[in-house]
Parts: sequence; C-alpha cells; structure tokens
Amino acid sequence: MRSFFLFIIRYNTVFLFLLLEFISLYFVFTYNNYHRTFFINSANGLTGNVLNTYGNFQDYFALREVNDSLLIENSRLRAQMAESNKTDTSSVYSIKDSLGIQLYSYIPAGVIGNSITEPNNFITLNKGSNHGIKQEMGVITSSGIVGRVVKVSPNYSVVMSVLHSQFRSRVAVKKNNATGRLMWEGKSPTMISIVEVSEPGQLQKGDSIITVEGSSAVRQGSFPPNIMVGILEEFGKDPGSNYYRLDVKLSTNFNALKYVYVVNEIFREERQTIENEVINADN
Amino acid sequence: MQIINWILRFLGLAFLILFQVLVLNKLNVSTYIHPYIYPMFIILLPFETPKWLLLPLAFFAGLSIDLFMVTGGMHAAACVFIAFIRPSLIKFYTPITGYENVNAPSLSELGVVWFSLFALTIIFIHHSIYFLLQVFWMNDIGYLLLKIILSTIISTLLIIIFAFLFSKRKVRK
Repeated sequence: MRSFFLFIIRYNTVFLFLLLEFISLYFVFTYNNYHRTFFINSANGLTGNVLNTYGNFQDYFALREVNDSLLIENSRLRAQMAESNKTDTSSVYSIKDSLGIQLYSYIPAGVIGNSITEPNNFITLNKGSNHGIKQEMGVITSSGIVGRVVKVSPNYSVVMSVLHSQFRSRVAVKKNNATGRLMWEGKSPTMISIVEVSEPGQLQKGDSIITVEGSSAVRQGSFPPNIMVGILEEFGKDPGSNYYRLDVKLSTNFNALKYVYVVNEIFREERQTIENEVINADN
Repeated sequence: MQIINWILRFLGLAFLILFQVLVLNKLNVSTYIHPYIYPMFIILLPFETPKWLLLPLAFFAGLSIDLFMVTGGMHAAACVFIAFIRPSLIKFYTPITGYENVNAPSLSELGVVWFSLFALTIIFIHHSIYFLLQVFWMNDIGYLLLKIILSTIISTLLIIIFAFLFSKRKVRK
C-alpha cells in the first residue's frame, strides 16, 4: 500500500494531467448533446452580461444599417396592408388558416452574441423565458431563416444557428415544391446544401428556396411556411445515390445579424400532443 | 513583488480573454483563420512554476474561454496539454548560455528568435488539438491542416506583437 501511494506521489503531475484532460473531454462530449449542457453556456449570468454590455456599445455603430433594414421591412409590410391592395375578393385568401385564426406570433429579440466561422455556430439573444421564448422555437429575420432556440434562461436564450453541423430542417423549391433536407457543411457562411431531393423537376439557377411545414414524426424546424431560405446556385446528382443535391446561397446575412424574430407557434403543444398520441399508439 | 507579479499576470489573462472574445472572435475573417492569443498567458508563466500549479492554471484559462465561446471543454483540453509539455519544451529550447537570471519567457531577455520559436511551437500544438477536437466529425484533412497552419501563423504574429508592446512598457518603468 505504501508503495502505491509513493507511486501516486511520484507521478502526481501525470495523474493531475490525466484528470484535468478527462474533465475537459467530458465537457466536450457532453456538449455534443447540446440538450445536456448544464452550465457551460453563454446564457449563464456573467458571460451573458459581458456580451450584453458589449452589444449595447456596438449597437450605436450599426444604427444606420438597422434603420435601413427596418425601413425596408416597414415598406414591405405596408405593401401587404389592406389599403395597399386592390379589393378583389376573388384573389383574397388567407395563407395561414381559412378561419383567420392566428397560428404564429413573433417575439422580437436583439442579437448579443454571434459567430459564423466556427464549425458549430450559436447566437445569443437578449430575451429569454421571461419574454415567452421556449426551447425548439424557430428564429427568423426579415430576410430569411436564422436557427432554432436550444437553451433558455430567464433573460437570455441561445440559438443554434443554421450554420451548425447539427442543424436540420425541411425546405422546398418554391416553384415546384420539391422538398429536401437542409444542412451546413461548415466551409462558407454564405452557402448551404440541400440534400435528399428526390424529384427536383425543372430547376434553374436563381430559383427561390423556402421553408415548409415540417412533417409530423420528423418535425425538426419550427418555422412558418414560405419563409425565404436562399437562392439556388448549383445543383446536380449526388454521386452514389439517386438523390439530387442543391447548393444554395443563403438569403440571411449572418455577418450583420442585429435583430431577429422568435417564432411562437401558438398551437404547437396541442399539435404535438395529438401527434405523439398517434405515434405512441403506433408503436 | 512576487504577489504583484502574479496579480499583473491575472490582469493580463483577463485582458487577453476579453480581447479574444470581444475582438478576435468578432472578426470572422474566414473559416480558415481563427487566431487564439490567450495561450500567451501560459507561455509567459515563470520557468519555475511547479507543474501542479501550471496544470490547474491552464485548465482555468481554457475553461474561461470555453464559457464564452460555448465550446464545451475544447480549449481547456488543449491548454492542459500545452501546460503539460511546456517544461519539456523549455528544456528542449535551452539557449547555449542557459536561462541565467531569467525567470520567465520574455522577448526582451531571451530574444525575438527564441521567443518566436517557443510561442510558435506551443501555439501550433494548442491549435492542432483544438481544431482536431472541433472538427471531430469531419474527415477533410486538407481543410484541417490549412486551418491549423494559417491560424497558427496569425496567432503567433499577434502574440509577438503583444509581447513587444508589453516589454516596451516594462523598460520605460
């Protein structure tokens, strides 16, 4: 026993080294399952505060661009108002719901932390559960999709950016509804790939790609339908499979993200409950 | 004197972390260039720092960056490793005259060449481990190597520039 202790004392730094490496790697691998991160998270108090203060300073330098984007959005919304449209009952219809019940509401939030060049990018927002944000909500901006909320604290929330290796969502080509799975391969913050497109039909460079409502069992993106994703740049057959893949230029400029909208799907819980009942009964 | 020195070191670490998080991480130059300069704290620790202290210090430095960057423990893992091999590296890079009267790696006392080589080696190892852990799921070796090499070069240059600024201030005193 004595020699055992002597052994430990003699190689104490090696043991200390192994212990600390083990702790670090434990953090790394539990982090991969992002739901299980407990405290290593920029939503926690101190780091959130530092990023928030910095964001407040930075806001002043970006006021011009923010004003411009708000003006553009205002004009777009104004164009959609009833007064701006000719009253022609035959062409008026509701995209969301024929009964006129609101399906989605939007919570505006400011971006206080953002990265675009990591292989896994996250965005920190200055609003949290106090403002009604919940996990799994989709996040969009005036020009396109942004990501999905993965962690919420009372005043902050962390969003898994579209520029994250684990981000998935179903999207479609606007003109012919050919759907596929969106994924980011980590090389350029302006480009994204859409894989597993089985019937692309006639495609053209410049076609719009939009979000679709997720199918029930593999419901992954909580975006409203018809949100812009990007513009088709290139397409071709995926080698070794019958599927096509599309290279798409993102419409969201992640480098200049200042304000976003968190999407609250009002009937989400009801919908999930009934979906789960069916899935569970099936199994 | 010793205590003041250590307080200055920790202030330096706080500055490096803030510079890292608020300036370097916001640059977003390219997916290939990710400079990390906070390992400078580990590079500049005194030569006779005992190993049992060196390792937790490095762990602490790495973890504080991890907290800001939401990277789990990747920085901590890389930092603990460079702290572990630092004493051997110091022995390996011993100048012909030895380390007489020098108690910590410094640009002014050991020269630009020595300091650059030492920093380059440590940063290269740190970046290799960090980027390897980071792109675990990717098998694009060319991309990884280019990223490690480009980032190492930029980080080392930045550290040398910081070391110049720091040593000038000391001389003036």
